[in-house]
Amino acid sequence: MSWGPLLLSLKVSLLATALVAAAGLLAAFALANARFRGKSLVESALLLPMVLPPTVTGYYLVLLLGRHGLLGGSLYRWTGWNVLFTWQAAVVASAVVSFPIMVRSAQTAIESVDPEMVDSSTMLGYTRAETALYVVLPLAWQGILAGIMLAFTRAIGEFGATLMLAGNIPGRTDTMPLAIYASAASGDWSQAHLLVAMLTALSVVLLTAARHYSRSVL
Amino acid sequence: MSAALEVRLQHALPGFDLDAALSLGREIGVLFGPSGAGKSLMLRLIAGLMRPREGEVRLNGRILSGTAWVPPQERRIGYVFQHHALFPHMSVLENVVYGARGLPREKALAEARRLIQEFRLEGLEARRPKSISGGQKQRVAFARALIAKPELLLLDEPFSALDGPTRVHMRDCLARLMRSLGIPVLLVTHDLAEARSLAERMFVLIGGRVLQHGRPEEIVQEPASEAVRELTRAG
Repeated sequence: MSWGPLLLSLKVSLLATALVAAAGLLAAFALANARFRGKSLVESALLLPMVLPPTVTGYYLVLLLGRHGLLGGSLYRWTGWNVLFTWQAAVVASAVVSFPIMVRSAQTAIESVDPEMVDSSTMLGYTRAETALYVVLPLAWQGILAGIMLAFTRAIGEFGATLMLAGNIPGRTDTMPLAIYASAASGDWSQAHLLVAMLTALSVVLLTAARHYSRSVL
Repeated sequence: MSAALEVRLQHALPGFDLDAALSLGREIGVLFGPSGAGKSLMLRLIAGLMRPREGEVRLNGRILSGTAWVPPQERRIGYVFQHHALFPHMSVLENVVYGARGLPREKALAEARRLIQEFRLEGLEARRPKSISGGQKQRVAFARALIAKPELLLLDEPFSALDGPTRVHMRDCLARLMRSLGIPVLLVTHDLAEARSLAERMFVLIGGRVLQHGRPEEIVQEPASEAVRELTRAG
């Protein structure tokens, strides 16, 4: 049995989760504070990867990041490097797919903080950013942490978008879900059993922890 | 002497229209009216938590809203909220110190300790808000609002979260304190007894309009309109 897929999955998911935690927290703060026309449209757009089939999300990412893509094209011209079929592509796929979960949980947590607390801090002279740091974050951290855990769970289970964007290259982009598919397809059942058991155990642990911190989302 | 606080505000919310003015010296003013009269809205507009559609707020000659706009953080207004809004993740001492933004830590701690003593909260410094009584919470909220030496104190139904006996006791204690502050204090209430016992100047707000103002006894004895008579009828 090879430990490659497990280690790769952990590396990819941890990186993706770190990105998602930072970006998702900023997005959640922005959305919780913003009042503008079309807010609900923006929210829906951000949540789209949650309901789209992952292969569709992956397809969009290929269009965007491919050698001739909107972003990928410029990047290739400047650096000669393309993200497709690299382990970094797996990070991007996992991040994009788990981003909505993080935003949703964090936004719910931030919005559930009593507005009087925020007003009170404002009247005591604190800027929005200071109030966010000293009052909102400490009061909303449980929901935010739950969001980070769920994002990680979603990232480590990512299959469809990863396959589209990173392919399934043994030793390079075969994260656990992809390795399970490959093992089962080639009849390597002992490897498949083991990977399935590990992924299940990990997911159960993370889900339990996330539920412990969040009563509102799950 | 011109008034310390001069307010003239117009604001519209769906189904509600506020058009009210008041001026207040260094005294306790009570904004009295039924629920839905626009009392809390008026406090929020004075504080700068909301932008009025039109009008002016002037505090000690400085324009806060109107031709200029001073953000709420820079208005030097102390605000005590209806449910006290103490930060549950901070101790009593930390809550009070939080109000002393910009003061060096040592100074802030000394000042907080002084206020904690003045408000008879000694021994509770390390306690969290959820483990102290309603009356104590309120005193913490006052200490936190006063530590930065505001030029105006706004109180939104400050006694409504307290039960009967505590309420009367707190009212008497804080009335003495508020009179000694030497700054304008504007308090919102829908409780006539509270308004009468605290107000040096009373403003009767009904349906977004100040229908009458003056000393509370004058208003009760000589209501200017049927609506005010109805609202100030004792008992």
